Amino acid sequence: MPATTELPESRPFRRCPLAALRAHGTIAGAVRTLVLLICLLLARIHPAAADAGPVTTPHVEVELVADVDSIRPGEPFDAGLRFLLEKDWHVYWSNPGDSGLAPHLRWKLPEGTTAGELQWPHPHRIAIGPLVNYGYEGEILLPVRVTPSAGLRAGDTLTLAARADWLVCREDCVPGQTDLTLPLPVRDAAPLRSQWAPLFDATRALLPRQAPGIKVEALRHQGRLELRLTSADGGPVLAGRQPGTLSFFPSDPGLIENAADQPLTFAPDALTLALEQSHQRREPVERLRGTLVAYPGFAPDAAPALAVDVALRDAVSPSIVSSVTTLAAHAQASAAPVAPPALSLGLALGLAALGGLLLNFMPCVFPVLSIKIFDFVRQASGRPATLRRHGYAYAAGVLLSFWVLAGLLLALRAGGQGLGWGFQLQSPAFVVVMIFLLVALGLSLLGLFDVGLGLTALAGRVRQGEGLAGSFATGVLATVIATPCTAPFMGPALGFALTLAAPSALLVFTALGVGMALPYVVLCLAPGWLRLLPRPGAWLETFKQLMAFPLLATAVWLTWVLGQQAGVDAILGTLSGLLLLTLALWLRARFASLERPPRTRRLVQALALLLACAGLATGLLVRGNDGARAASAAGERDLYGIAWRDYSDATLAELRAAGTPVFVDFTAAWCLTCKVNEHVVFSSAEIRDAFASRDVAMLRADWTSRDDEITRALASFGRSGVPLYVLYGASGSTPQVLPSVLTRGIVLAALEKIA
Amino acid sequence: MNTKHGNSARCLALLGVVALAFGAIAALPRAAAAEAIVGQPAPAFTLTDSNGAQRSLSDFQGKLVVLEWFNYDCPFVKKHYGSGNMQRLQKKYTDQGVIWLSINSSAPGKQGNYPPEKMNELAQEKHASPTAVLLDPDGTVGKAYGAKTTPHMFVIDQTGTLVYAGGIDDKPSTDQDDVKTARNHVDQALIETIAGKPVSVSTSTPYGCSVKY
Repeated sequence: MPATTELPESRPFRRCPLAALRAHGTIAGAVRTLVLLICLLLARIHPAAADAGPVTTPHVEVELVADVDSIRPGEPFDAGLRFLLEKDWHVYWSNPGDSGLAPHLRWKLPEGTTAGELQWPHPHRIAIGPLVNYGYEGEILLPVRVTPSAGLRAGDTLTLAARADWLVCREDCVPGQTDLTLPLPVRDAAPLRSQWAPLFDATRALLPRQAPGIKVEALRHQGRLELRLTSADGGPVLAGRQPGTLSFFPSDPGLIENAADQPLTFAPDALTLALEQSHQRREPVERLRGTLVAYPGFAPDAAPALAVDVALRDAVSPSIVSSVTTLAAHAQASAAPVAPPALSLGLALGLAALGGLLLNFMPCVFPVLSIKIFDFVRQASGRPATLRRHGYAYAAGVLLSFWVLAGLLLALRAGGQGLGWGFQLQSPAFVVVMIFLLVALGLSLLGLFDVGLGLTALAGRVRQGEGLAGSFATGVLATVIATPCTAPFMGPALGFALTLAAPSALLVFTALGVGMALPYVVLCLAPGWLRLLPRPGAWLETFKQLMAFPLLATAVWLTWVLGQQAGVDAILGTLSGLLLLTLALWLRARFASLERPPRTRRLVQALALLLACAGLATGLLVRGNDGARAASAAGERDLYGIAWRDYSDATLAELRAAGTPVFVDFTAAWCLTCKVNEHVVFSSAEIRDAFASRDVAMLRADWTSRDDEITRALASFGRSGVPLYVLYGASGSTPQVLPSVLTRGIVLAALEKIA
Repeated sequence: MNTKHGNSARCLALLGVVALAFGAIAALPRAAAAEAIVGQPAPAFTLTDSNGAQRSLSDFQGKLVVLEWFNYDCPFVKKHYGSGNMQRLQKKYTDQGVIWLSINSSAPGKQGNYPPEKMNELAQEKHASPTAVLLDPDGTVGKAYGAKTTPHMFVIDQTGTLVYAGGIDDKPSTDQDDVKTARNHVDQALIETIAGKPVSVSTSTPYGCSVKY
């Protein structure tokens, strides 16, 4: 009978007592024949050997691989558990973090062959809502050192067998397990590298290692845990000599808050990483074990992962580092370095005011504003005091609306939402409401009905104190419909504003409001300029109707944005809702006009209101796939012929580790400036060739819908809105942040710098 | 609509909105939401149960309360319901007068979020017997307690103090066989609290799928 520790499938017949064949005619012989039959049966029903290909399971391919093609008896080699994951799915590190489960491997080895523990390349942070896990995406190999039995002989086959189990998740999780085998021939000759050897090499570079030149201390300081790294010879700790990101991944669960930020304090010769102890843990942490990951890597050879195993002690004195620049780093093992704040407050105020001014010329605001100005010309000439008051009322409307918007944004951010400017457009509900508003306004300008903008209400009302509320309301309306449009300089100014404390942020928003209200206020203060405008006439009506079209065009564009965010069904819902709205408005215009009896008017108005609400409800409730993006799959080309890859911190880190230059385009479907920039830059063959000839990887960070990873990446550059363009050169160099308004010259110059 | 009164009314309404907004910002607490720490009072909450009734933690003052975060579609929860482990615990302790609250914090559209009738149906199918199934689709209570996984268990004693927070047992896996050989922390915590003894293992690393906020 085969020995229990041996795998019968490798030599089924040899193991069976062949002598049984010779028995006949005796009970012993019959028994031996029976035994033989059983052996034969067992050999048949055991799974066939040499199933060395990958096992395909839901969302992941699993395989046992080795870095050599053959083995020698007694000579250790590296085998490994390889996972090839479907896009967006991940498996976990040895400490999975807030949830999840690490993969396991249970060996079934022939006698005399032993295997070590799984080795873990450094993981990445994977955030899911408020939770953080540690794991891997894409392709990952967990190497294991195997020492074959010295008793093997050339010509044998060593079959490694193991049962692997894992948990693979995207948002939902699927547990998996499978049996794996890997047959390896035993030969006397020196083993050759297998096809997997390059993967083993790349993986070994990511394994945590000791760095003798770097001293790691762990301190309890001011209620936090700090990891302090200094170089033994006083040199730089990081190979790149400049600020980078540093993250600590603990081997033991329950010690630190996984989701907390790890602020980095940087000085040229020492780095301090602050960790938050787990709130649930009552006893102080005694020992910190884990992996420190840095990009650029640790001196001297830029290895990215450092093994840490250090006892904690209380810090006896304040930080001894002399010149310290505190930069808030985000705890992600990505290659996005930390940038100091992008602007000064003064510059931000200036840019905000300029942006506000330019907002007046955006297709959303211009129609309303221009109509208002012309109407005013018609009604209010000759009364400078009243004009001034109206100017102030309008400005008040604009400013208050911006304060409300800013207050809302700051309140939501304080509540922990990962938002930035443009947050309003990331919500499909908001986009639907804006579409309805813009269409209603457009139809009003076309003359279908009077929406009570206060535009025509000015007739005969320019008396003291009258109609001021109308001007105020116009100011509010102008701001509301300006929100989908972001003028060129607003982005950086607002992005910077949102990194500030509330009072300073509100100041920037005030500057924006002032800029936006400025043209109207100026005209009201110096009515002499009004005389420069053409005298009103029949053409004014045509102009007014013409102005409906930029509004409707904006509504069309927003419908496209909605489609990107919520799918084609949402477009259908919105268009149907708009149909109901138009019907409601027509009913009201035709059957509720002043010459109808009051009862009919009230009835029709009620019906119209009901229809309009039903229309809005239809638009809001019919949704397609929630948050679906029309992002191109990896490898597909956009309309300029460029193959974009989706941004993720892991992808960026991978590409940076490989030394590839990377261009990251932070964009969104609703960002007009982004689209204009992309067209200006990528429609040029010269630019496309310049990128291609330098083998620049093109990453697109699509912020059309909420994405906390991209929000954090933006924040690491001191921004909270799009567009943002970052060009990374060869590994170790500081990335270049390009301006928000791109020209081909700027892009080419930046590409020259990365050679 | 275009009358003087209409304009003033709109103006006032607008000012009201602005005032509310400022009030909201001012009133916002700067600190993080209350957290559930063992040894401290358990955070108060009110949630609607699967039968539409409002349930508050304060309703159960003076009683032992167990909070069980669940998601019927999570493989780890399936391990404990499939093996009958969770139901056994629920029955054992509700029979003794302990309040067992099963809480679902899955956001709408995410795994494990079901309408109340379906929740009742699923609970009945599985022969679960919690005191109530509470629905927390916006995740406020889950985040207040720091519920990270399903299952994630909390035990609150008769004085309203949290005495246990963590995993249900000490064998993190999806294998039902592990239930028999694992140390059930919740069972032990309840036995010790009922006997008036301090809880020997008051925290453990919770394991499971992430809560689908």
